[in-house]
Amino acid sequence: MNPPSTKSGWTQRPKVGVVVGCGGIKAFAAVALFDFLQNEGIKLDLLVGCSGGSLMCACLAAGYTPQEIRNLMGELLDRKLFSQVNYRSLLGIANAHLGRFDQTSGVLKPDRVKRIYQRLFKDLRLEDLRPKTVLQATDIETGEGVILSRGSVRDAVYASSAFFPVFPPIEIAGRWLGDGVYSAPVPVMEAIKRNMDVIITVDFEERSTAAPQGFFECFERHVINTTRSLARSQMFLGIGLHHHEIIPVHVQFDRTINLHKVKELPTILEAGEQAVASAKTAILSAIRSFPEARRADKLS
Amino acid sequence: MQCTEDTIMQYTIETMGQAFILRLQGALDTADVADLEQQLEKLLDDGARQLVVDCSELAYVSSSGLRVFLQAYKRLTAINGKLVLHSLNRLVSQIFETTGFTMMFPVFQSREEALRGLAVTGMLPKLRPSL
Repeated sequence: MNPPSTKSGWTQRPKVGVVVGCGGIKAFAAVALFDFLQNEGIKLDLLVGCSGGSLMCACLAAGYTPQEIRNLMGELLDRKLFSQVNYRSLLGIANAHLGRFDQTSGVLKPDRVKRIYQRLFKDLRLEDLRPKTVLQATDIETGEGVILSRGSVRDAVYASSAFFPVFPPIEIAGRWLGDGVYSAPVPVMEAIKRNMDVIITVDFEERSTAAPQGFFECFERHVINTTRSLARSQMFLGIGLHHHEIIPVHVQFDRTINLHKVKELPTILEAGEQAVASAKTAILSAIRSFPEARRADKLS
Repeated sequence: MQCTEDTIMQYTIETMGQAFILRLQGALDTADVADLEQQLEKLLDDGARQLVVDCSELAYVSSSGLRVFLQAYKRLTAINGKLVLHSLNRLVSQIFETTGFTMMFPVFQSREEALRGLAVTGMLPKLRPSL
């Protein structure tokens, strides 16, 4: 699927962008899509990530193969990453006199997570990533969506996935940035703005009937439900604005898979493989039909 | 359930009272949208104001197919017309859900319900909860 150019100057190969949305540990399912694209020889022009999806996109663009990402996640993700409680913050939530909690705080300490990002990305910068990769974060003070396209990859991945108030936001260029889930859970608009012809989006859905238990499960469920509406509104707008094909790869789970359930990685990958199998004909068809669609556009 | 390459799109148009029934068969994607778009344009130019899209045999719809519905919807609502859909299969229903199209399009379980939906101003489909 390499780009055969024509005399008129335009390429017959569509510009292909992949958008991996938020999903915490479930974003690991995107590896199945990376596998498929690699096997089909589909060259990517843009990766857009949000939250857990940012980690996956950054790994791929940093040069890790899908197999290496599989191995790394199995090795590095550990339940302990999510067990380092910041008691000062926790007490601050319970009682303002006992501790401190403000918009730079988090219930969990981010040190271990940051160490993993340091190990994965070292001093790599977003500008160095191939294909071009941009990550969605949210300005915690204003709620505004922020697209990170320059600077430290490890800081950008952390910002995009810092699920405030569970994890504290990070200060980048004078702004406190946290999880992109709050502004664009599946940032399809960024791929449209960057003129991608075929856009493959990866989103995640849990079909849990069990009532959430405890503060964090209730909070997480609430965020998932509200941001799903946001994602759908943005997808609707995106389809109205886009010129060729947006293909959703919808990864479904029949139960809740919380952030810390690292033992579920094989299940997550299997769900990703099933979703990709359902979408592969549509992906290939969108790429193959691009030259003809482009000719028809020119004629009309 | 997935989109397969052997599901070439076909469609028929019939009338039922004042309503035009567009029955889609197969997969609606880039390859077919131009033709369908033209047919719908012609239908609306000829005065159609009530459009029922029968999706009972629609195997798959891509984003370019959804845009065809969106264009028709915009034209129809501008002239107080209506567009409703019915009998979406599981895959198409999921596509409508994940792309937010169920927020805008009235979707019904059967043709009868869709026709009743056309007759009642502001009737909301069962898929969308309302207060």
